[in-house]
This record gives sequence, C-alpha cells and structure tokens, in this order.
Amino acid sequence: MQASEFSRWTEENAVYAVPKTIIRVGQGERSTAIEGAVTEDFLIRTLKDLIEQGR
Amino acid sequence: MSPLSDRDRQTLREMFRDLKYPVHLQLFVEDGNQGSDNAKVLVREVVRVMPDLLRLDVFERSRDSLLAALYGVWEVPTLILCDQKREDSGIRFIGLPSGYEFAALIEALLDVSQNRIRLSEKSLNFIRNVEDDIILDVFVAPT
Repeated sequence: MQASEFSRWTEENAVYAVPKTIIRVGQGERSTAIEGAVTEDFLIRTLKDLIEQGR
Repeated sequence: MSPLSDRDRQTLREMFRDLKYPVHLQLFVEDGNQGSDNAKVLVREVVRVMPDLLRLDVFERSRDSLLAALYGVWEVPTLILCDQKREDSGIRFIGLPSGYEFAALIEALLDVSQNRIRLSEKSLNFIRNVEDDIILDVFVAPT
C-alpha cells in the first residue's frame, strides 16, 4: 500500500478537519459524518438512528 | 539493522508484563514489496520480545489467497490480531505499523491479550444484535 492512498481517502471522504467519523450502514445507502470528538452514547444513538431509517 | 533499539525492547518488555493470554499475529505480505519486508522485520522483532505470548504466522497473499480472502485482506502488508483461540479480534493494521501506528499496535496487543473491550455492556448488547453491515471510518491526526 502506498502512502498516497491516505490522501486519496481523505479527498474521497471530504475530510477537511479531524477527527471525522464516517458511518455507513448496509451497502452504504445510509451514511452520516460526525466532525469532532464522539462519545460512546452519541455514536450508539447515531447508529440506532441510521439502522431505524432502513426499516 | 534492527528497527528496535535496546531501550525500545526494554520498554516493550515492561509493557508486555501486562499480557495475559497468547495473541496470534497473522501477517499477510507479498514478495518484492518493500512495505511487506519492513513489516516482517518489525513484527518479528516485537514478537521476539515476548515469544511465549506473541505468536506470528506470515502468509504470502498470492500463495495463501483463500485465507487472505477469508480475512478480507486486499492490501499488503496487513496484520491481523487473533486471540488465544485464534479467533479474529477484528483488529487490522494495513500498511507498516510503525511511527504513531506502532503505539497503537502495542495497545491493541494488550487489549486482545487481556480481552479488554472499552465499551459499556449496554453498547455491547446493542452491537451484538445489529444485523446490518456497519463501516466506521475514523480520520484522525497523529498528534
């Protein structure tokens, strides 16, 4: 793997500031991005919301 | 030249006192790949510090393609950490685990060896019951 891969990933995911967490559920049809620090509770709540959207 | 100094080895020996159960490291490499060669040297050095509890298997991705596919290895080098029962911990290091990644590798070895999960039981119960595939990409800076 080349170091240039990382810059490609950041471009593809529009990462202009860190930390940034990108969550994809299913085949990627449901996704969201969180910028800044993420608490465990917030992450779990966000995951629940994304999963619920698919039902 | 060894990637670890005597002082590094001494520090690792002290940190590895907290290892509890064996960890199996599965390293997928490719011949002629510089990153693979460097990863082999580095990981062998780490394992050599605590050979009773750290066990290394090196696989050629092209020769062991079935195993690589089972583990979902698509880049080399890829290092997979398995627990004492050789069960996949889900932790992977893609690329050479050196620099800032080296500290993350050592922490991960300790986590897997101690079966340490840093989530609450409530969160774990939720995750265990999730049926959808979830991908989390976390972009961070090393400092």
